[in-house]
Amino acid sequence: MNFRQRGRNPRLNVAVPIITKKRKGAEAFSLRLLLTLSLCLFALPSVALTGEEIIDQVDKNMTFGTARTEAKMVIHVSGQERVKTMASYSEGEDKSFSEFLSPPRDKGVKYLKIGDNMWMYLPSVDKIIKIAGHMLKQSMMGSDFSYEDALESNKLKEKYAVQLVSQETIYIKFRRGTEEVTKARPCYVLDLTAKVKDVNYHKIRIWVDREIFVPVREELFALSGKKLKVMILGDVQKHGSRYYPRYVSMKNLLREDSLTEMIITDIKFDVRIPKDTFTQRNLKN
Amino acid sequence: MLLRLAFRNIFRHFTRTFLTFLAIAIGLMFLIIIDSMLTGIDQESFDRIINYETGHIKIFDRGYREDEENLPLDKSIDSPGRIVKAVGLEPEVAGVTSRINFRIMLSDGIDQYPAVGIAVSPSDDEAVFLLKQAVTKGEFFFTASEESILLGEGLAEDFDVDVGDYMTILMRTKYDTFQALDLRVKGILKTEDPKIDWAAVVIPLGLGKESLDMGQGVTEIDIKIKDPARLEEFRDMLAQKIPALEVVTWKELAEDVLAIARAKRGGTSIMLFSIFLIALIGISNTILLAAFERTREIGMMAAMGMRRGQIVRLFVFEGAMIGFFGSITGCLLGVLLNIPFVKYGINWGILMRDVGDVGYRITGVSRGVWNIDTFVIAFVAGIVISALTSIYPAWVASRLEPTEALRKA
Repeated sequence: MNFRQRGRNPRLNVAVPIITKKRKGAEAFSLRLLLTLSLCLFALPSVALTGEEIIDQVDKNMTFGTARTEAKMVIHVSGQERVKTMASYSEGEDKSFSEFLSPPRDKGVKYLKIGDNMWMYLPSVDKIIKIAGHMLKQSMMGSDFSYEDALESNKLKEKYAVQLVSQETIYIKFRRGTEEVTKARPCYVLDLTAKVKDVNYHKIRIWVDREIFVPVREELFALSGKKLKVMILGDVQKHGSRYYPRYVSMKNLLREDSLTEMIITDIKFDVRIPKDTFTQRNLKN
Repeated sequence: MLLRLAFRNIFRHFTRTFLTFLAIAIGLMFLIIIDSMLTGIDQESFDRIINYETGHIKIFDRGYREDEENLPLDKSIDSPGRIVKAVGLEPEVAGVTSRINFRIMLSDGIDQYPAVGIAVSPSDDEAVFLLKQAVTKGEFFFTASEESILLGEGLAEDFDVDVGDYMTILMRTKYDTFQALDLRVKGILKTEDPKIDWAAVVIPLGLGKESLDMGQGVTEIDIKIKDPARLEEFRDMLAQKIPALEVVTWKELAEDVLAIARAKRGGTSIMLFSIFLIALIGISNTILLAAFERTREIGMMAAMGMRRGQIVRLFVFEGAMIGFFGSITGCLLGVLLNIPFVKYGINWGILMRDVGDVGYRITGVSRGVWNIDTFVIAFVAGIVISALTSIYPAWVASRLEPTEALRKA
């Protein structure tokens, strides 16, 4: 059975194969009715959603007013592990200010993002560098995230056509503190296909947790359909009415043994952000 | 008479003469060899730039060159067909083709490495470039849309891949969307041009246009002309015909390499000067010593009625003669040593790889050249300068009073 066809009509999701299997006789009919009804009832709150509605629900969790985050970035590359820690303030998705705290080599490196612009401050040369053009495509601090990934807007709906493809339970592997956790989560599978040409990824497939509406896995595809990167989000915690993942990993599939993990060690939402945080002057402070 | 005297004189102090002569000969020999090597490197670099990278003349979209380093795809020539056809009809044109240059990340699934992608036309590329002949293993493309790549030898070595293996190339389309293709390695390129051998991934033009979302667009049109001496003239003519696009010669494109070559010419001149300075001091010293040693002799010659001018001339002749023999020997040694350099060349491979990209298009062996000008200049300069440096000691010698000179000894 084709995933795409199923996706077009989620209501028939499970009923369809049963019809094809048991076609003949009244028994089959009543069974089909019963099954359909029960499945509809069981799945009622979720099946009613379209892909776009699911994305809206996700946005409620993932977008916020202001936040202060402390995070650890673990870069795995060819068997080695590099750990960097950082603290950042963000306001909406347009503004953020991050400062690296360790290792000593990166201490004091700061990033400021305002809208589509990004600046970097390097304490070693005491210089503010605007990250533009070709630099945007480069890896950020040696990780599997590019600057673009950091700049990429979450307003996916504007650029992508969202389609609910299927529902499935997947296993997510993540780290909570030092322990490795594997969890099974029931998910919606959404396919986002670019409506416009100027996007980084032509197609994105997102697995959204069906119960709490947090994305748990994203696959990023090239125009040719080749899978390039896989992102895993885990260790979801509740903050007030919001669910937010504390673990994000990004794997570049074109490189062996490369994985970058971002582990949020502390996050506070709706904090008061000091005045002048999002200024270039603050980069040099 | 004076010449014969001079000739005999230089053999009277054989050791001293021989040392001076040796200084001139060896100096000239080095000059010739070094000039041959450097000119060879220049010549080969320029040839490779023309044959693999630029052709003689390129046409770009206006604004492309400001952003050239990023190999922008959005500054493209969107309907090259008409221009290619029109240019091809010019009587001075030997060949014309079009290409797309783009940035890629080459990956074998284990590692990835940044490289430069070149999409070439399987049918016309050889009208301008020599890539097809540079395929040392495997084959060149047959069709414009076949899903295969040609890899530079260095890249193939680094990734340890061979013909028949698959590689992934990751690139951005004209609209900056990620594009990734799994392509079969169809051939390995060995051009001796590091920009190709160590950094180039070549794909067929049709595949390039499609996967980079270029429509019919290309980033450049490349032209080879019949008479390279009329390069600038032809460029100006073409620029007038297509004012909407930018027409540039390979010399403008290879400005960095040409600048290095010019700087090096400066360096060579300094070296040349140093060699002559050493020779000059040597000759001057020999003649001066000879003059003092031969004070009695000079006094006698003066007493016998030899004029000052004649004495000066005698010493100058001696200098010139040493210069003459030194120059001849230097040139002969230069010829002898240059033969293997021209025939087999010097392998710069390890050195160049360590030094990295310095602009020269040399990866391994570079050959010397026969530069007749250098021989002539070296030969003439060897004699003239030897003669000129003898003037001062000759003048000192000629000022001695005959009586005093005789008594002194």
